[in-house]
Parts: sequence; C-alpha cells; structure tokens
Amino acid sequence: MRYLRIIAIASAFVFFLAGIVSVHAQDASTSALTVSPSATPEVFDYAKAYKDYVFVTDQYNNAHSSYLLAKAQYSQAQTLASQTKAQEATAAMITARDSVMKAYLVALRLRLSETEGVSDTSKQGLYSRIDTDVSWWATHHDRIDSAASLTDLTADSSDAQKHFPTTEVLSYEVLSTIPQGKEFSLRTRLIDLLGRTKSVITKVRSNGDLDTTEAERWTLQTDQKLTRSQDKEIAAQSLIATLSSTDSRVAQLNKANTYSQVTSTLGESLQYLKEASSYLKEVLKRIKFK
Amino acid sequence: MNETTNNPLQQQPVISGKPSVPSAVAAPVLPMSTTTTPVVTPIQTPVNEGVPPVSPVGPRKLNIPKIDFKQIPTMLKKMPKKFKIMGGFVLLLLILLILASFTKKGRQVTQLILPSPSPIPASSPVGEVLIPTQYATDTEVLDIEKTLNTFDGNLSGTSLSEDSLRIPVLDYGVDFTKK
Repeated sequence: MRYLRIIAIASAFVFFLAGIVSVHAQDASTSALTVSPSATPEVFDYAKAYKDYVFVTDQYNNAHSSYLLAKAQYSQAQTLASQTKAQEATAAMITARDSVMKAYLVALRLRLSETEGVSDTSKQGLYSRIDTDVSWWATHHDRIDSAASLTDLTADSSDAQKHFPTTEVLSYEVLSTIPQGKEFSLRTRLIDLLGRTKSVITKVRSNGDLDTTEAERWTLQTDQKLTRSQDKEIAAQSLIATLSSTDSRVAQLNKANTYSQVTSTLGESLQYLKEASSYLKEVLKRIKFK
Repeated sequence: MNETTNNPLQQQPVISGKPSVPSAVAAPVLPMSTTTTPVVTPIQTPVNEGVPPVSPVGPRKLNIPKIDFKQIPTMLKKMPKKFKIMGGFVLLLLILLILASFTKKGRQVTQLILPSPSPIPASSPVGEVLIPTQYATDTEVLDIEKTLNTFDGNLSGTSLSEDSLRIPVLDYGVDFTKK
C-alpha cells in the first residue's frame, strides 16, 4: 500500500509537469504565428489614401455639426461658458477642415502618380505644387492650437479661405491632367498597333501575296481618326492652361465649368480613338481573309 | 234594294216583350235575350250553292308499324349477332363522342380545326463567306489582333471624369460678429 501511494503521487507529478510543458509549447507556437505575418509592410497607395480622405471627411462633418450648434448657443446666450465652448468647437472644426484638405491633396497626388500617360515633367511640377500646398495646410493646422480667442480663430479661418482658390486651381489642374494622361496613353498604344499593322501590310505587299490597296487606304483613314483625336487633346490642353492663367479675365471663369469642358473635349478625343480602333480591326480582317 | 228594310231582326225590336216571329225568318232560330245587352251575331260562312263542299284534307298517316316496347327484348334476341355487335359499336362511339365534346381536350380538338395562316417561307441570312489567306495564321497578325482586343477592353472601360476626387465643399465662413 505504501508503494502504491508513492507511485500515484509520482505519476500525478509527472502528468502535472507534462501539462505545464505542453502549455508553454502552445504559447511559443502562437507567438511565432503572430510574428510572422507582419513581415510585409503595408503599401500606401491611392486606395488607402482615398479611404483616409473619406474617414477624415466624416470626422470633419461631425466637428462641423458641433461647431454650428456651439455657434448658435453662443449667439443666443453670449455667456463665457458658451464662448469657451464655441471656441473649442471652432478650433476642432478648423483643424478637421485642414486635415480634410491635406488628405484630399495626398489622395490626388497618389492618383496622379498611378496614372499612365502623364509626362514626368508634368508630374514633378504638380507634385511639387501639391507638396507645397499640403505643407501650407499642415502649418495652418498646427497654428490653430495657439489661437487664444474667437477673433484669432476667425482670422485663421479667413487665411484658409484666402488660400483656398490656390488649392482649387491646383486640384482642377491635377484632375484635368489625369484624364489627359489616360487619353494620351491609349492613343500611344493605338499608334503603336497601327504602326505594326502598317509593317505587316508592307510585308504582304512586298511578297505580292495579296492586293493591299484597300487595306492601305483604310490605314490612312485610321491615321486621320488618330489625328483628330490628337487635335481634341490639344484643345483640352489649352483649356487646362486657362485654369492656372494669371489673366484676370480668364481667372474669373468658373473652374468647375472649365474642368467639365476639359473632360467633354477629351471624351470626344476618346470617341475618335474608338473609331480608329474599329477601323484597325477591319484592316486586320482584310489581311486575314479574302 | 234597301237592306235595312228587309232585315227581319231590325224590323222586330227585341225590347218589345214577346216578339212575334215571322214564319219566313223562323228557320234559323237565333237565341235572343230579353235584356238590353248587345246581341252578338255569329259569323255566317257564305255557302256556295251549286258547288259541292270540299272535304277537308288532314295530314297523311305513315304506315309505321306500331312498336310494342314489351317485344323489344325478344326482337333483340332474334336479331343476328353481326348486327348486335355493330349496334353496340355505334353506341359506344356515340357515347365517346358525347363525352369528348364535354371535356376540354375535346374542345381543343375542335379549335385545331379552325383555319390557321399557312407559314410564310423565310430565307435565313447566309453569312459572308470568308476565305482565309495565308496571313490568317500569321503570328504577328494574331498578336496584333489580340493586343487590339485587349486595348478595346481598356478603351471601353476608361472613365475620364474623377468624380470621387472633386474638391471638397467645406465651410470657410467662420464669423462670430454676425448674429
């Protein structure tokens, strides 16, 4: 009996130890699993920037609602408490507004960087202007904390209001450059395809296998469509130039309307590209079949 | 000739109590009432004297033998077997026809009999017959075609306006001086 009791105690001790070891092993394995996935860094692209912009805009909307309420209460009560509350709400609203402008410009920058067909020179020029603008809004954002009164905050907001047209012109320039780049990229690809088709026609003609007269005439018509598409793009470029014009008469024009005109003109250019692509298909069919 | 004077009925008024009936006019004894109610005279059919009366001609009776319903079973028994089968068959057909006329399917059958327009012959369009050239399988041509198809897809999927990135409309009118 004595030996049995000793064996039972010993076996219980062994089981207890085994249990502790297994728990530690599980902990180690789970910690190893949690560490491994964070190896790849998260890419900050346009999609992420746009999400940030939407989130910040939501925050601004909340802050703006609070600001309107505090302003109304202060206008009615005119007490020190309501004044303090209005000051806090205004500061929160202005900082949120600056954050929205910063997030918006960052999203715009990334959209531009992901767009094909925009020359590096244009991109760099726009990047530099965007960065300057972002830094202006960041500085303005940081300055709000030092505002001591509602008068200071009103003055700070007025500064932002004065700066806004600069940001507006920049944003419409970028927004117009993006579709222009898309259109240019597509046309370049089609010009390349037309060039390759012309080479094939030249080869066929030199071999004397087929009568290529009709196919050559159709390539000329495709060329004409591409030229018309380019003309429309040039027209769009001149419209984009008016956005940043220093001429007071041109500067008075509504930027949003100009942007609409740019997209409309580029849409016509795109239509010519579609027609050219359709012509090219017919040329290829002519080469493939009698 | 004056008719009114010769009429014996008019000569002997009814109101005058017991009328003396003249012998010449007594033959057709007319019922006469003693009251003042108007007398209805029966319509007298003219009688053609000298012409023999035409006897009325009734409907001709057909020589149909009288059917004694009690004798039908015995008659049926006497009937030859061939007629019995034919009769049974006709009776069955008649029953079926009556049943078919009451069912929907039977009515549909009658509808099918209605005149319908005869189908107009239409020629199916024959596609353009294309004879492939030696360049139909050319790698360069096929590659251009493939790239062009991809390009077409990109072209149709291109959106020029960046509506989601329009400049945000924010409130810049912070002014506490206005009430």
